[in-house]
Amino acid sequence: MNRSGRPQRIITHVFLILFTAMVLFPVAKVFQIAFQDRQSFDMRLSVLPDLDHLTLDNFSHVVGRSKTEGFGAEEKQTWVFGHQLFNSLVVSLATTLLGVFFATSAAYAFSRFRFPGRRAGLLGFLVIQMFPGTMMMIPLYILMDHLGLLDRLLGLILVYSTTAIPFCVWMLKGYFDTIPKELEESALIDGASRLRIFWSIMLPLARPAIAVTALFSFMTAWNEYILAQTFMTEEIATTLPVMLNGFVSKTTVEWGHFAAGAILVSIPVMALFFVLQRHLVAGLTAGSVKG
Amino acid sequence: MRVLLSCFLLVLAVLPAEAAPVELKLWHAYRAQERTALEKTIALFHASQEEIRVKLTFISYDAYLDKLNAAIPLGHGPDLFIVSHDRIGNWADSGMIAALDPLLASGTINRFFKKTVEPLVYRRKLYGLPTSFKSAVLFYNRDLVPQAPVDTREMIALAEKHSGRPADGGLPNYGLAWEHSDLYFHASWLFGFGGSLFDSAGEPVLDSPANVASLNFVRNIVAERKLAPLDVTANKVTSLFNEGRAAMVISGPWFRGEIDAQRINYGVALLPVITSTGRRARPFVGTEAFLLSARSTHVPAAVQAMDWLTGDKAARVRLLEGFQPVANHALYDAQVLQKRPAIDVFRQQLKYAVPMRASPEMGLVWVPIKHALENTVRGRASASEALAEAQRLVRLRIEEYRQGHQLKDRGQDLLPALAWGIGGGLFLLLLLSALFFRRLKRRLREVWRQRGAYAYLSPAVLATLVLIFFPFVMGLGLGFFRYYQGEYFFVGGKNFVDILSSREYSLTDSFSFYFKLVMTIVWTATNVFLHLTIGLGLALLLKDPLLKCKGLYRVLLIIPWAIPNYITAIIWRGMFDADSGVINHVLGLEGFSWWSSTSTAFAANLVANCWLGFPFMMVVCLGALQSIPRDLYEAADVDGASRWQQFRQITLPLLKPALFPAIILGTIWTFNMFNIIYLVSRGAPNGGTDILIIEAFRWAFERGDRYGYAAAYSTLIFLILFTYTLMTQRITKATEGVFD
Repeated sequence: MNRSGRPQRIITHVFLILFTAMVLFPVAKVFQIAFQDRQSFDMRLSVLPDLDHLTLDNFSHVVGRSKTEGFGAEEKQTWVFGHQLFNSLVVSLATTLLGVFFATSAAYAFSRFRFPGRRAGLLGFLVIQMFPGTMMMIPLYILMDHLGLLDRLLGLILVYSTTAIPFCVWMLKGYFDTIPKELEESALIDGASRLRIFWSIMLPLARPAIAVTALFSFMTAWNEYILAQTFMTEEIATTLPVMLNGFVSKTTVEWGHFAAGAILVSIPVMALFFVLQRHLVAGLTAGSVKG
Repeated sequence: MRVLLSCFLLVLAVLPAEAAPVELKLWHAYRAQERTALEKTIALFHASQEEIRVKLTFISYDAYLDKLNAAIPLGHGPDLFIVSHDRIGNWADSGMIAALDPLLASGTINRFFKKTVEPLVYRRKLYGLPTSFKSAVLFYNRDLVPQAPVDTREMIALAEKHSGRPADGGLPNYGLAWEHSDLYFHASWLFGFGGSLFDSAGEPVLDSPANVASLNFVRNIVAERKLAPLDVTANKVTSLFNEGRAAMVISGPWFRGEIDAQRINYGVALLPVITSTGRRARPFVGTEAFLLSARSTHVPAAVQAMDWLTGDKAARVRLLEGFQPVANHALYDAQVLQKRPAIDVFRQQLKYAVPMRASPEMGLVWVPIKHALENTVRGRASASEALAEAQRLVRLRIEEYRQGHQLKDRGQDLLPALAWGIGGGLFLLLLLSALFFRRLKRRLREVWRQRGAYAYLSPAVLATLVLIFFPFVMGLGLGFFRYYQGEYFFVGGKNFVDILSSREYSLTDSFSFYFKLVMTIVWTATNVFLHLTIGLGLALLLKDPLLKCKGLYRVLLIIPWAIPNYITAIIWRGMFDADSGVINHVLGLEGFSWWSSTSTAFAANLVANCWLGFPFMMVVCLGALQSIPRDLYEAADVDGASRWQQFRQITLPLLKPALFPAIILGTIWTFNMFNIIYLVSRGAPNGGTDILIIEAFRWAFERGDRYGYAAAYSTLIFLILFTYTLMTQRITKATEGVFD
């Protein structure tokens, strides 16, 4: 509403600043814990690190994590953090690619074809994610075992990209719906194949929605730790969130390391959000409003 | 060629001694110094011989037990693993671990304290070799308490001296701090008061007068005298002690590693004598031990390795470098004790400690006692009422557990497999016929004509069928079974009948299915409403095209969505802490505990989850608002419509189609939101804030491995959500919606 006057806008700013400060408080707390040399934390209002205890040790501990195997001549050092970072990147990027592939093709079918079972399929994708994940764990483990995918990154990639499908299909389908059919129809008349239309008309036009799909798939893979630590055994075969969880035990939590790790893990996702935020708004919903 | 090769292999097999060493897999969940010490003992073991190589694998504690349970039966597990003893009964019953008696040289166990071996014996068989024992002791701040208290009267007097708010109005101090609702710690008082958990016949006796007295003792210290914090977690105990705000702490050997020794001059002492009974407080003692997987293919080597790794030489390393109170008595000599004097306190405490049982029955006691303690301390029930309820529940669960035996006696037949097939098949059939069949038959030709569509769909559908649908059907099928000692037995619809008839609780009890259902619905409705309202409100503010820094606000406000929620949930828990939490500080409610009543605990969860959930709705609303043509508002302006009228007549109606899918998705997510409730209120009080999905989880993992029951719970959750979606589908159809 562009009529609002200056004083009103100042009030808006004040409100937004206060609200944002409130929203960011817990995040600031994580930063404070990460930059202090204690493994416990207090919950006071101040979010500034205690200057006497200011340190980067937590970060260097997390990043520098390595393990020694063997002894004497056989001794070898493995950089655990490096391996986990590599795994996380491989798994997340592959999940993104595969997830986008799954979602765009399926969403295209749902949007452009009127085929028997369409409504049921659309509903099915939504419904299937309603069964609590915890109960699917053991069956999934047995399944992965039979498929020979335990202890392999491919297994994680397949599972993650599949779990991201429902949300992505729903979102993309909505977006595809807003792209006028006339474009394709004229291309069809010009003799373009369906695949060609999909590839060179639909995909470029749906870029914002695809960006969001990619972001969502990436996030699913990047933040997940329960499946990762169940399917992978060796420490160097797991992903970063598993490392994070390793700082928590039944009796104790290494808060400083945990917080530092949490920041390191969150940075890529936050960066992606930052880069994609314009698309995010358009991609997530523009589709659902027909107009 | 092949003949040559096999000759070569034969020669290799016949050649003695020089063969490749046996590689053993050893899993553990040790961290920090304990881990380093263990790694060192492995290196020493390798140096001592050539035939055996141990491959050490660290697994984070959180996943450890689940992973063992999943991996060992499928043959992917380790040969040896280090765990605390409490699951031994279940594992022995289900054939996951091997008894050691026939494998060990006689006298092997004589090197350990007797009390550390006892927890490893189940049904008269030994299942492990102990590495260390863990019992509670008293840690005290020497600057505040020069001499540790001898009895509880002295302890209370000292605690009173150091409790209360300092004159400058800072954060309150406590004389004592411990996790008072955890049976592991409470056991010290309970046994000190002469109470017990089981009688000599192995039946639970939780409501004895001595047990009641021990609960009242804790209530007196925590709630009436306020000498110890009411809201307490392990982290809080640590930070209180490290900030010098807790004079005395009751904790286990791991606590030593948490103390900030540069700031705190601390001492370790035996737990005090209970003044009213004259008996010393008797903590539980648990044992950590090497266990041998029943699936190990290198049994002699594994036994040799565990024998060496629990021997005095390795134990010395673990004691000196890992600071473990090791189980080997020969090590507590003058030389070692001079280096590690605190460790000796644990050895002395062992004399007064009660070995924990490893039976499945013991596993059923923890949670009911915890609830009894919480309810007593928080004034929700008297000690005797709370313990009577705990007794009722534990009896019921033990009875339920033992009924599994009848199933086992009846034996496995073809029935389960048959039922799996029928159950799964029937469901598939129902689903397909309900959704597909009529159309399919009528429009088979149409299917062929539209085959292109199926080609586009096939990758996603195939992946979903294999990786989601299959485990999903198996999960559904599981609801008709009962897990007992490693096997599943078919029980028909019993799980569903038990849940729906609320067999274990009265209908209005906070643990009944119906209470949970109402709770879940209230939780979901309030959350989705608030996410939407906050999101829409912010979107309306940020929509203003002349507003500066819009992008910045937008990015900052999205951050909660970008951070993994298990991290922020834990931070929120701390922010709601009664006396050091920032929320009480701002609201001026210092000392008020959010976890004592259902409504406040619910509110805390709600705040945390709204924080997490509004960014999604905000982004959705922003997108939807941008697509509303501006000329509509201009026209309304010309017509003289007020802002409110414009909102009601233009904005809302045009937002609806965009919001519907978001609301449906939001509802499903919130309905099954696990982390927030599990980590923020932790179900407090008395499970009152737990929603259905958490209840399903607790049945599977906290109440005696009732996986079938939990699966039935999950199936009900699924059915509820399914019905909801069908209903909304009707509505959206009416408003021309998302399925078209």
